[in-house]
Amino acid sequence: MALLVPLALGLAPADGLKGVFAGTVWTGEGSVRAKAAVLLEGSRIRGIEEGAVPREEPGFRTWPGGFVTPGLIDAHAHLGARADLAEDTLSTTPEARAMDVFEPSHRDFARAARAGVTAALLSPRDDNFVGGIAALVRTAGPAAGRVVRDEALLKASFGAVARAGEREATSQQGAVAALRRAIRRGKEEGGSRAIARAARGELAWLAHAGAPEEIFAADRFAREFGLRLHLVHAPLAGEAAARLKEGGIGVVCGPFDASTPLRSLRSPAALAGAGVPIAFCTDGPAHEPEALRLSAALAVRAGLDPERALRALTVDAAALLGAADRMGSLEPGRDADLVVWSGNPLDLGTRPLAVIVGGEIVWEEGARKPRRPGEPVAPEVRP
Amino acid sequence: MIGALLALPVLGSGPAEETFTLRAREVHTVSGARLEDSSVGVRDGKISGVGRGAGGRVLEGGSLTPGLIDAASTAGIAGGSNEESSEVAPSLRVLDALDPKSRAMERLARAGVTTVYVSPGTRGVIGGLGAVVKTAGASLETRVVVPAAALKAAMGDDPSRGNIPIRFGTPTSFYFRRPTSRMGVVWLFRKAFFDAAAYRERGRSGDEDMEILLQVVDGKRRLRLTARRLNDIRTTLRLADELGLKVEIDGADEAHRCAEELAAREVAVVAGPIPTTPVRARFAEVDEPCLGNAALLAKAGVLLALTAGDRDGEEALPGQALFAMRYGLPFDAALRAVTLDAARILGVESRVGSIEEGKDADLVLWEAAPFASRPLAVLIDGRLVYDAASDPDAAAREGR
Amino acid sequence: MIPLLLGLLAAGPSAGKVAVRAGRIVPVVGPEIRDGVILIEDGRITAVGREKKEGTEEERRPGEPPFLEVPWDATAIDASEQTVFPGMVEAHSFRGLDRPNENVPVTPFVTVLDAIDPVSFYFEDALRDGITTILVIPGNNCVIGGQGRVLKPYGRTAEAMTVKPEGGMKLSVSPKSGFTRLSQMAELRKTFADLREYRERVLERKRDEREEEKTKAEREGRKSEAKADADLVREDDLDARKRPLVDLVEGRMAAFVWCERAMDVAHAIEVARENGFLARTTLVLGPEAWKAADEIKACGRPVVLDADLVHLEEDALTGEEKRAFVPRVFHERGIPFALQTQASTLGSRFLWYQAAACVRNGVPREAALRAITITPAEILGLGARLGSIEPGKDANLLLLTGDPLDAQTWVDRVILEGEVVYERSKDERLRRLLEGKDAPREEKGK
Repeated sequence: MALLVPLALGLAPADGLKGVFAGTVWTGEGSVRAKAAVLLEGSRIRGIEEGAVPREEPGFRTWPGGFVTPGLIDAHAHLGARADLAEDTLSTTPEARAMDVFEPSHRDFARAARAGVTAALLSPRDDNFVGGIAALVRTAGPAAGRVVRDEALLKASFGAVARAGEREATSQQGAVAALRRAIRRGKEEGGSRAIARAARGELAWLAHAGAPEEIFAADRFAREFGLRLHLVHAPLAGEAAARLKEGGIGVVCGPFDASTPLRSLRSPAALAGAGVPIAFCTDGPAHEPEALRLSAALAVRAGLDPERALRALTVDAAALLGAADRMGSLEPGRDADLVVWSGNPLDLGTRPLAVIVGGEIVWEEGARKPRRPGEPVAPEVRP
Repeated sequence: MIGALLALPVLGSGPAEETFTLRAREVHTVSGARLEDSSVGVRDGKISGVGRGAGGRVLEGGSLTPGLIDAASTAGIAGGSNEESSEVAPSLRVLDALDPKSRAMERLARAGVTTVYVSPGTRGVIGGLGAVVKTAGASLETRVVVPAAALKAAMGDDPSRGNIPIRFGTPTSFYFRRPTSRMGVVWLFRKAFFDAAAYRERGRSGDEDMEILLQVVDGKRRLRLTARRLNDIRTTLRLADELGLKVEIDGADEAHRCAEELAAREVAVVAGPIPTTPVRARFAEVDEPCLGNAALLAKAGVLLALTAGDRDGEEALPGQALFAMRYGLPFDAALRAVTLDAARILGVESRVGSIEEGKDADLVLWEAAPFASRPLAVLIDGRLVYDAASDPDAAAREGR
Repeated sequence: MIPLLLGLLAAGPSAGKVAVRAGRIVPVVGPEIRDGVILIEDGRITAVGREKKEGTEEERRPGEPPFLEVPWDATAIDASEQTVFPGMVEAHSFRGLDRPNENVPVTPFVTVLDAIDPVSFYFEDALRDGITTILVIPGNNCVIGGQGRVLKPYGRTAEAMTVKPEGGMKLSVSPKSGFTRLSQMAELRKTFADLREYRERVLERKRDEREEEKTKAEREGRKSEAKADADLVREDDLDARKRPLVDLVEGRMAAFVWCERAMDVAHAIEVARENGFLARTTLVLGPEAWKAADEIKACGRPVVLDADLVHLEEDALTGEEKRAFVPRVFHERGIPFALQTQASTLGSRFLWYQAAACVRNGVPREAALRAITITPAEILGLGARLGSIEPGKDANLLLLTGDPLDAQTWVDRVILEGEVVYERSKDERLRRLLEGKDAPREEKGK
């Protein structure tokens, strides 16, 4: 790796990055291309040049052994604001917005970026039946472009954690009744705008539903009101895959680690097999950003097709979060968020070599860049 | 050694409905005559013939009964069966909290219990809507017989237990509330129905709680009350008169003390579970257990069902029937109380509760006599949900 | 002593001759007899067979029960419509005690005699349900819990109820509350190590005394009788609090060792073997301990099973529920097992129900019947007196309305050592339980 072209300090940002050549490029849509260059234009992707050769021209970077993927997307996290992402006294807070506690310069984001995670869903926690509106944000890049969707999903929870403590409701049936009431009130004049939008299907729901009965209740709830719904923290969702497929429900899987039971690890494969859209998440900062790749790799070990796993980390996650037009693949016109890896990211020996967000290299192995105001602090970590 | 601990057959995930012919030395149709050495046919999830088979797979046993029905179960509710934050909550639905993979339901199915009325607990004065579901099947959706069944209410001590009267200090918990006494429970029950009447008088609409109470008043929805002590049962009857309600009673530990009255007023009773020990329980509402409760009710002519309550072990409902018989209930009455009469109380007798052509193929094939022997096969909606022959534990014992 | 007390307590003629005419005899040991007769003298069974009808010349064929003549002076008990079954035996129970355990972990010197409540509802119910012999022993929450006593559920005092005073010592290898498995075993080992040390000290002292005596005798010129080491220590030389454990390690007392889980079984066997009481040990098992059945088989000792006969377990990997019917595991390996009762479910408080559950789950009927009669009797060292209907045994008989394992069968009468001590027709409490408290009372003397 010492052969890598050392990054010149103060690499001409005015000209910007024009192209990235790598041994392998995985585009997100379609197949793997050998020896290809991803061409950039400003903050967008211009196209892919197959059969390219390394070029010695300004703004053109070469990683002959590199493996390029779209930037990874963490589909459920609480980066930089864990404590602020749940209101304790009320159990239904649809108007709460994760956007309001977004702190772009928080180190959680820098750590995520360094691990190749270029976007994350900043989501209210699972503690409330209706927790509020989640935002899709980038983990690095210029402050102006950090928020991709300020109203990405409406977070709900069917979990036991939302029923804890002395506040309404204390039971699963009470929780569902509370959600029903929230929808009914949301439809009334002067009700919650967020609920009203979600009830009309303009905003999808992302519901925590851990146990089988919670999945069942969430599914029935979505059908009863004709909602768009996805699930998160549903380790046994794979066992209801056919039903979820029928309801057009997607599932955010993970985070997985060495202690995750095999039964849960098999869930993504079962879901993918049934045609249910899946993505992965870390719940960061509860888990390290590396847990995103680890989760996908463990799912692959338990039977998930590797291609589906890579899609779940990128293009499928973007679709699930309603940002497929912006990120998740290397199609022309998409944001230039990509990662150059030392190998296939599903191989746990692989490490990121460079992370590019909005057409700019935000982190590179071995590089030391003077920190600019507003830029994330990214202390050097050697593998 | 580990081989001796064998996995139980997976319920509900078996093949879709097949065609079956079930043969038994005794076929208890419940609705009709008892047939000797007869067959029952099952096709497309329904009973296709009584006294004649339907071809297909043949299962043989000592006796055949309809699938058993528990008319007052709490099996399968995930989390609490009570909503603690509110004492009057008619619109809560137990179906929202039903665990599709409930272990308790699996055990019930293996024991021959095929349909249950699952109701909210007794912490609410009006606790919400129960559900009638099958204990196994392709999915919970297909298992549901009545998604929003009888409204559940409770008299007596349960709804007030745990609430704190506001005497001093700051009420910081939602347990500082009514009711805190037996009278308070009745007061809130009565108030709920007064409120519903006022709601109708003012011509309002859109309140689900009120609508449900009005359905009960109009006789369009069943009302199930838990009342254990004699005075609670009498209060229930008085409230029914006063508010013009038709009620059914469960809990009913002291119902035998007013059996004639209940029979005369045609109030159905779900009796049980039978006390496990004939000793006065220290904190029970009823001060003296009566093992012969069901027998005395049946003798008086009360429409009777039995329940095992929250017990899902090997004994469950067959054990209740077996011991109700020991304590005086004749076999035919015990069988009816866990099949057709239970179905009548739940209002689902057109689908389940007896072996009749066209009814759901919910059947239990017993090794010998019902209740006293083990089930060899359990069918729900024409699916073989338990098969002793493929139960490795059972196979091991036959030396296979 | 015992018959004397009984004589004071029981109504009707004491001892003497009794003849029970039975529609059916289920003797547990030996074949069933139809229309049989059981002859009893002084509380013991003297003969079991068929009644010789006057004027008939029926010949006895080999293998058939003998023809008997009912003595003219015998009190006749008519059970010709009923089934006669031996009184059932429960080989381990801590019900009937006011509290099952001491707080102190090692209490070998306590005895249940001091804590038995003769009017406890448990004993009344046991008699009504056909249990005629019970080992009442300290509970499982102990390291060494104390001594048990074999009782019959009849009598006004613990002494009067006693069948055998030396019931056995209760030990536990599974942790007592507040203990871990480490500290539990450490406490047990320490107790036995202390005991060894104590006995050596006493022996040392006795040896010194012997030496002294010898010297003294030599000095005085008389011949001293030098005892061998083994005979040196007499019972009186031991501290009364240590004596029960000495009885245990010297094989004079039986041991009942509680093993909650399979992992505890090996420890139980080790402790018993190292301290010399394995040959008199019975393992009292928790529901999961069946997994150690092969080790139990190898050590050759009988077991008392938990009242919960089904062991359900969730597979850690798949989440599937697995079921094992515990008695069958022991039956299949030929390990003698006894069943226990517990008031936790409708059926488990009846020994007959426990046996019926065994049959329903594939244990042969004969083995199930033995598990509530002769096997527990043998475990209690009373195999020669109890557990079957055979000549020479105590006349503890149940007169049943039907088959012993049928749930619709009731105990109609109980004969204890030749006396009728329970009659269902006079069981006012049972009538009230079945008919409710408003039921009209029977007139006294009607």
